[in-house]
Amino acid sequence: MMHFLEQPFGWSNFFVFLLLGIVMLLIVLGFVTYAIYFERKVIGWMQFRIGPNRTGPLGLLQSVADVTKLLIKEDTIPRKAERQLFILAPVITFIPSFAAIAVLPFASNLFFADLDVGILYYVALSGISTIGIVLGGWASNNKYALLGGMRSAAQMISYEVPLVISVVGIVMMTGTLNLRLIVEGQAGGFWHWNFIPQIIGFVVFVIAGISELNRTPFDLPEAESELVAGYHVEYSGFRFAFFMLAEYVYVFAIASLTTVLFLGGWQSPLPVLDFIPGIILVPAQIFVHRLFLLLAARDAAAHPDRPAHGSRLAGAAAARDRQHFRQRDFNGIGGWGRMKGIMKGLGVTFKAMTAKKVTYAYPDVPLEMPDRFRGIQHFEPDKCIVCNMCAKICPTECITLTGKPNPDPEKKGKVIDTYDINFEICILCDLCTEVCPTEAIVMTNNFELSTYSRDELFKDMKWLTDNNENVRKENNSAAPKGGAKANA
Amino acid sequence: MLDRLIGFLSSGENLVFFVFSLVAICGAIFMISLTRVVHMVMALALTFLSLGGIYITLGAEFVGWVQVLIYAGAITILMIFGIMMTRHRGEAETEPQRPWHNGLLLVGAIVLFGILFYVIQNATITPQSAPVDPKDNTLQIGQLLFNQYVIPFEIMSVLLTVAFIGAIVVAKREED
Repeated sequence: MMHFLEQPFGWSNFFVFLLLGIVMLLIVLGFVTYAIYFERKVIGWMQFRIGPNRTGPLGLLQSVADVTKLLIKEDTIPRKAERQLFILAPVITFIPSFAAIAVLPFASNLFFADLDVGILYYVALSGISTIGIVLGGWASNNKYALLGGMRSAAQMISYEVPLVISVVGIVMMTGTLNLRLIVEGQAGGFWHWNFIPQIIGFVVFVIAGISELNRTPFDLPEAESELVAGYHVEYSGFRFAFFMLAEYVYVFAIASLTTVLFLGGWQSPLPVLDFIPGIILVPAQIFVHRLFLLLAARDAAAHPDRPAHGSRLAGAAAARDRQHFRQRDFNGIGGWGRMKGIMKGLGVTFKAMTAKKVTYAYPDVPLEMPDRFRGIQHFEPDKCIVCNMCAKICPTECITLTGKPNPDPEKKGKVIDTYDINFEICILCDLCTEVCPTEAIVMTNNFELSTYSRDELFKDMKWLTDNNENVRKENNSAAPKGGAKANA
Repeated sequence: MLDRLIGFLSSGENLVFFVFSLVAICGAIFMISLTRVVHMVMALALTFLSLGGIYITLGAEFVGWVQVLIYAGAITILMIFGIMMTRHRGEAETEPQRPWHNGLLLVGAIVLFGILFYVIQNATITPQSAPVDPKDNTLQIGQLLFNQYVIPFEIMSVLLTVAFIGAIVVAKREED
């Protein structure tokens, strides 16, 4: 990369950088997609759920589907909104977030810019995003959006100060603002990494970073569970997607920045591990950091009753009472209580993550039905002697059957010809199976009968014969659990 | 006279400078002519950003990004805050139309531009000293500030503190 940067700027350089920029954009988009997926999965685990698991294998395409939906949604702009600024605001928010990535070095020879004022560049650009957020809130011409924008800007500005000051120690130690040189100053094992001499700076940076990103202990800008959404109340479709994209790109940027500033960037933690190419180390660390961000941040999703946030439940009322509102905002952010809240939340999170889930991955894992569950009938034509008992006893007269003479001339009696059950009226009363002398009709644990047409509820013999997967005996082969007899 | 202009425009650096200064001037004009205060602040932010761009073009990376950080970021947001929190109704006051006014303004502007253009084109400017090495000028600024200019620097910080405290005192008095 260095020799590209040192060449005079021409068309060939331009196209190389354009290409690299596009590749980076795609990587970041991929990261955002799976960061959202991961976040939803972890929130699910913390709430004893499984999380997205339907779209694609393991639900991996869930975010893709969501983004597609956002992109093709109707583009609504409120009639009384300030049209131009309303359109401009997501752009102002997103562009700096992506431009800030340019300064991050990913490996000793992979970086997009070698700025002498790298840290300053990042901070300056992230400050511009705030303008977009405030503008979006204002241009929506909505009180809640305006207040949301204010909240957001107040928080982002106030936490930018500790974020920058926590880095000053590193700048003084390394003697440069250049991120690449800062990483090079951390070579030679993890005990040379900046987070050890700068442990206070590291802690402050991580907390301020969480706040900059509006992750949960500091999610007042959004506060979707207590207040209206915040600055993006009026936004929908791809403009909303751009606000969210900017937020997640900042997640990527802050995670990489933490890695670069405090955790040695591409320098391997032990000299023995020098053979690992640096290009792997940075993403690995970003991932670990991201995991922390997520865990620390998302405890609230599972535990809205956490102490640090109790007052926020009064949020909707507070929005009416401006004085109360302001006090809550400025007293509520930060402080030791938050820190304790994060730690408590992390504890609960880890406990909940491994606990048994209360939801099922239903089509993949069959539900275990109680012993006496009466599901859809399974019919075995070979056993049927066409005695007509089932059709006679059926209270709703949903069974129709016809027999025919046995094709084998040496045998007497009839064999079944057609056998239909109309599940539109069947009440699954079990009488047909009780009355059947040959057990030709039994009930299964299968219960999936939803269709798009009533006609499909009319099941014929072939379907009933094939419906033999979850026969009661197979499913509940173990000793009977519960039930009246077992307890007696 | 024109070949100087062509020579000026054929350099990429000058083109960038030209674009930035054009945007800065546009922002300044919009700042004056727009009627809604939030729009004015946005125009001002545009000017600040372009000024930052000009600094960077001139090799002053540190000053450029500090300009973006403090003016385009912090001060703009401060202004937006102040404006949004205060009431602004009836902003759109229309001045009485004077048809000959605009014509005179145009003539005056063209004459002023002509004079400035002529003078600048005919002037010979000799660079006073060698331009600062653009490489790592943060370090140079730091060294200058804390060696040669340490007393002005410290006095400046005292002045800022005084202004800060003064602002608080004034605000407090109004509250009582």
